Amino acid sequence: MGETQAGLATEQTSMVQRTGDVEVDLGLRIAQLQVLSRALTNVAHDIQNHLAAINESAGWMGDLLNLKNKHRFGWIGRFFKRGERHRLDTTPFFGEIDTIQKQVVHGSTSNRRLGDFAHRLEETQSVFSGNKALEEIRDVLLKGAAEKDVHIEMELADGAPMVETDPPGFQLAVFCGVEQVMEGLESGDRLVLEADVRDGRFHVRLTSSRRVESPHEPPRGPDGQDFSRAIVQELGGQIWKQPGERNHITTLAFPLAAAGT
Amino acid sequence: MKVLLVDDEIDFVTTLSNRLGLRGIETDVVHDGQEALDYVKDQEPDVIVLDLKMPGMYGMEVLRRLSKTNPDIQVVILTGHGTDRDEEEAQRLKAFDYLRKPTDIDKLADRIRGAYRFKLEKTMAAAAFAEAGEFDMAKDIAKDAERLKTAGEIFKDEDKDKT
Amino acid sequence: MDSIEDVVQPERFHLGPGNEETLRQRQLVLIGKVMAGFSDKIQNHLATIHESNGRLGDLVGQDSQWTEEERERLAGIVSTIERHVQTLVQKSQHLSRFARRTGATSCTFDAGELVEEAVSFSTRLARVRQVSLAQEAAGTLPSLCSDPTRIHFIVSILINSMLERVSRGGKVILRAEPVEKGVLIEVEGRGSLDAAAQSPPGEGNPYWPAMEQVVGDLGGHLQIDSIAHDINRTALFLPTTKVPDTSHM
Repeated sequence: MGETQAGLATEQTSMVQRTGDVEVDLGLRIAQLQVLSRALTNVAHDIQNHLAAINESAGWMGDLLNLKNKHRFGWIGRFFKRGERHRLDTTPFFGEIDTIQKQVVHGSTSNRRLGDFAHRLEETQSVFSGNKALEEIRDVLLKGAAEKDVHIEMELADGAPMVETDPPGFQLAVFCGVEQVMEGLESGDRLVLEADVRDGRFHVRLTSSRRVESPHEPPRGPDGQDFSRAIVQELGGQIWKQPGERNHITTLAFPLAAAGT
Repeated sequence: MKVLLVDDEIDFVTTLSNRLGLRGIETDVVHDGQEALDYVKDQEPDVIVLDLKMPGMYGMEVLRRLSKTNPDIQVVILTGHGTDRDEEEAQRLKAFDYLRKPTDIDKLADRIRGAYRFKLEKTMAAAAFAEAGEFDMAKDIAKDAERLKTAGEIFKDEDKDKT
Repeated sequence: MDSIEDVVQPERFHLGPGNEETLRQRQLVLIGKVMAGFSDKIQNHLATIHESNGRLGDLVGQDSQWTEEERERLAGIVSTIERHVQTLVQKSQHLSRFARRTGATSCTFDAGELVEEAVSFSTRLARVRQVSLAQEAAGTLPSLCSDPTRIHFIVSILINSMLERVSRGGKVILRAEPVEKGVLIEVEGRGSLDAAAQSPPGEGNPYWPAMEQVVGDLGGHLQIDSIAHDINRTALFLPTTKVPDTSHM
């Protein structure tokens, strides 16, 4: 009896310790994501402001050149030669101004994605657009595929309803899913990522052009769990695999937000 | 039309002011939220172009206060970092528009003119109802721009009756 | 759902402690990749803007149709653009350097660079708080062999916490110096403390307990001093070599 009690006490202590450790660990992960979120949000904001200033400055130069040619001298007229007879050839100027403004637009589109990605890091449960979250990791997926010389296509359904889960977890689950499929592919293969809504869930379907004869052993956590699967399930989702004659499909399904949220 | 630009990025807002000037929109400039509220106390602008994240007081707080104290002033948010949540909050606080930096200058000029027109229509409609003795409606319009729509419908019906 | 080889049962289970740590690391790897991809992209855009702006400068300089006043005005615009481009180039380089270390559990890196990045990422907060933020030039620092993302986490919290405590108009200074078997990073706040920040640093800061735990894991220690009523300092000692002790996880 005494022995049993001692055994129970040890068991309880180790349970408490383990729970305590998980709490410390969870605390660190979430704290780290939130601190990073804050740093990245600030960086993205700074970048956007500088890009906006570049855009306005380039536009202002364009305005001044137009003024000079139009001979519309308002309050600014004192900066220009009066009675000028010939028009200034502004074509090369506008070529460069146009290039600057186009680069600003591209840069700020990417930067906005970085900002959105950063904002998402601080949330552990929210309602969000699955498509937007996938767009934010598009470049990473494309780069990973390019390194392996695999062609990847992303097809996102327009107007898909909102997903409700842990947003950075969702992005990580898709990233790990793609990485896992990619392991079985070779140079020249093709992978299609489609996102749509089926059976009341947000589906991310990964179809690879190669039939995987012996599926790659999934990366496992220290306790032996299939890590991708563990994350998807942690998010309240499901994952399944369908090997076909000429292809292999992995589907990740995530919960949709309740109507009206 | 009196327009106030509120942004802490000095290069940006100075150039923006110059460019709007060339498009016939004269503007005053301040660099933080508190300065904006001080400016409003002295000389009520028709339209404010407001950044969100600024030193001292955030733009959303300025908007919140203005929506209570000066609901006639039309606010166009122009921000570099706004989230979807910020946009929803700005809509809830009746901001006239929500634009993201960098924006096209002619688009911004159009929105400022649109905001000014809206303010004028609102004021005129309220005055017309007050003149017609419809004081409750006049008050509603002054308080809540949504009522302009209803007022517009009534005017249309009256015009139909006359014809 | 024909030919489903492997359907997972829908019952819920939770990640074990080991998987939780794997999850943290993999999330950091993904974040690092997103940041690196972005910084590569923005640097390409900036390079093009820099070239086009340089060409505008040449055109303004070459054309004989400008008065001196016009030329000055246009050249002023060109230099404003260049100034913003240079600031962005520097910021994106910080981001790129930081991104490439993010997710590594142990690597050798320059502590001065890490502090520089943390300062760069906090400039916006300093501006919003109306507190100046500066990094004092350090001598040659030894390289650290440690977990860079955890160290960035600590330094960010120390900087942000001081920025939030010092009143408007104050100053926060960062110093990093070599000490025996390690590096000392000091965050000094000058100026009166905000009324809300009279309590010791860390109180009410949700990240502080996790940060203290990480300092311990890395074999470092923190020292908090109030030098004078308007000078507050937090000093962080980090050993030159330390692989994080996560045996308790």
